Amino acid sequence: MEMMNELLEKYFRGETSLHEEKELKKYFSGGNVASGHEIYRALFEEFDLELKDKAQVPFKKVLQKQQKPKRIWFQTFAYTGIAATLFLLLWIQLPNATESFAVIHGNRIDNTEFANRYAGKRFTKVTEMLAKSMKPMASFNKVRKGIDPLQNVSDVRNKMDELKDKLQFNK
Amino acid sequence: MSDVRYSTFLRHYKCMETTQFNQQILNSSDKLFRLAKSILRNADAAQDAVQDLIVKLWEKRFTLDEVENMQAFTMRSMRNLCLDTIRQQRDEVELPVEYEYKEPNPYHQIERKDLTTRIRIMIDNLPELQRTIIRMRDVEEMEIQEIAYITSLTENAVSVNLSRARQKIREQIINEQKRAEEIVWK
Amino acid sequence: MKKIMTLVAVFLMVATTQAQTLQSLFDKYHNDERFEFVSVGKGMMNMANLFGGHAKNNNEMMSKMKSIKILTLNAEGASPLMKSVINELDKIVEKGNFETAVETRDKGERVNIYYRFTGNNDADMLIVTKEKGELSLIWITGKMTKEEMMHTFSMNGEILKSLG
Repeated sequence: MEMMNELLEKYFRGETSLHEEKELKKYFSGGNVASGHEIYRALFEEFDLELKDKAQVPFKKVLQKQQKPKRIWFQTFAYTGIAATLFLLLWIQLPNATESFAVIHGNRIDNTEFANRYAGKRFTKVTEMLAKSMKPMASFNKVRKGIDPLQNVSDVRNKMDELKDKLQFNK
Repeated sequence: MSDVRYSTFLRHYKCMETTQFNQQILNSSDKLFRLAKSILRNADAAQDAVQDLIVKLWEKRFTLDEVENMQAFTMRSMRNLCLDTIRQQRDEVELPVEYEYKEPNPYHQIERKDLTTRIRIMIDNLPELQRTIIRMRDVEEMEIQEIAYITSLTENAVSVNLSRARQKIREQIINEQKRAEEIVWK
Repeated sequence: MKKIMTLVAVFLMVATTQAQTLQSLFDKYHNDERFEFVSVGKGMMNMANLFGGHAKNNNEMMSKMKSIKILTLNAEGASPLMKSVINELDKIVEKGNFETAVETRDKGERVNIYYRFTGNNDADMLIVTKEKGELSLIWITGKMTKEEMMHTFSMNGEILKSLG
């Protein structure tokens, strides 16, 4: 009782530690509260009560609504995404990717060229989709022009094939 | 390809990932809500405030990686956002206290629930700094150090305000008790 | 008989408690006649000097790629199949420790790019595109460290900027 008195006084002076405050809370939630302390019970109960207050909206839902990417941060990642897909596009277009095949609607097609071209088209599509989200429609065409140089890859590939033929011819 | 660009890229890459964001910020949404509710004294406004904060932090998440104590940082941001809201609204409408303060009627049995609500009103009637501090300490059980960071005060100032807040509540409790006794004994 | 029943039961238990992986998802649907599937293999890396002075790096980079698999479904968004696949995919991304590199949403078109690194420098990249009536998954596997992957992307980012 004496100890609780002291603790209470210490509490109102703002000098109690968190541990001591927990002691006080325990004391007031128990059945052994001295009559002189009874008036403070509601105070400590209020603290416990308020801790139970919870937010209503599941905030994850809020975030989902906000997914419209803002220009500033997104450009970096869009570049990453586009860069990645371009890179892979080129990788596919390389000659000698010999193990490609497709299964279209259950039918297997063992044609490397076809498979690579299909994959290439999908990558181009991804790149366009990313570019579209990244810039407003007005500059979309500009971006598109920037992507077009990739079509030169097939030119390069042709050149490489020519080179290969030349080498074989010279043998 | 200069090294400078490379490391800039990595810095962007090392930003806060979505899962981290979820863990560190969304999971303390209840705490943030209680803080906002205490400052704004209105549950709906608090809800909106937390939502605003989450959106703002999400947009900034690339720089958030450099923050050491995420929890404290979000609490601090929450308070500042609420204070800004209040300042703006001061020109328009005073945000009302949620509950009406009712004079206790000693002739009726005072139920525990009534008493608790009255305590809430007492705390809500404290000036913002004091009620923020007393709740952060007594409800959320935060260390003085953390409270000091959130309120941008020295630890000493926090202790002083904490003590003042508690004393004020104590006075009001005692006064109420006295008045109740006087009425009964007259 | 009892032995067989127990074996079957155990097998079923294992089968059902086994979380779905990207591999099992692809295995499940690649022969399905409602889907289109493409597998691009590694093959030999016989590169020309496509990137100018960076050819050497890219050679290395490319040799680190192992495979690309693409799975595409054309179906109404409301169809049970589409919903089911998306659901399975969400679970895989969540349970498979994938992190998100890019997320865009623009007028009903969505692109999500995920990545993850598992032990021994195995890297996975998953590009998911969703638009009206079509869902497409592009799954790339390779062997490289996080730093190596990011390094390549930063380099290619420069090239992209210079293009347009």
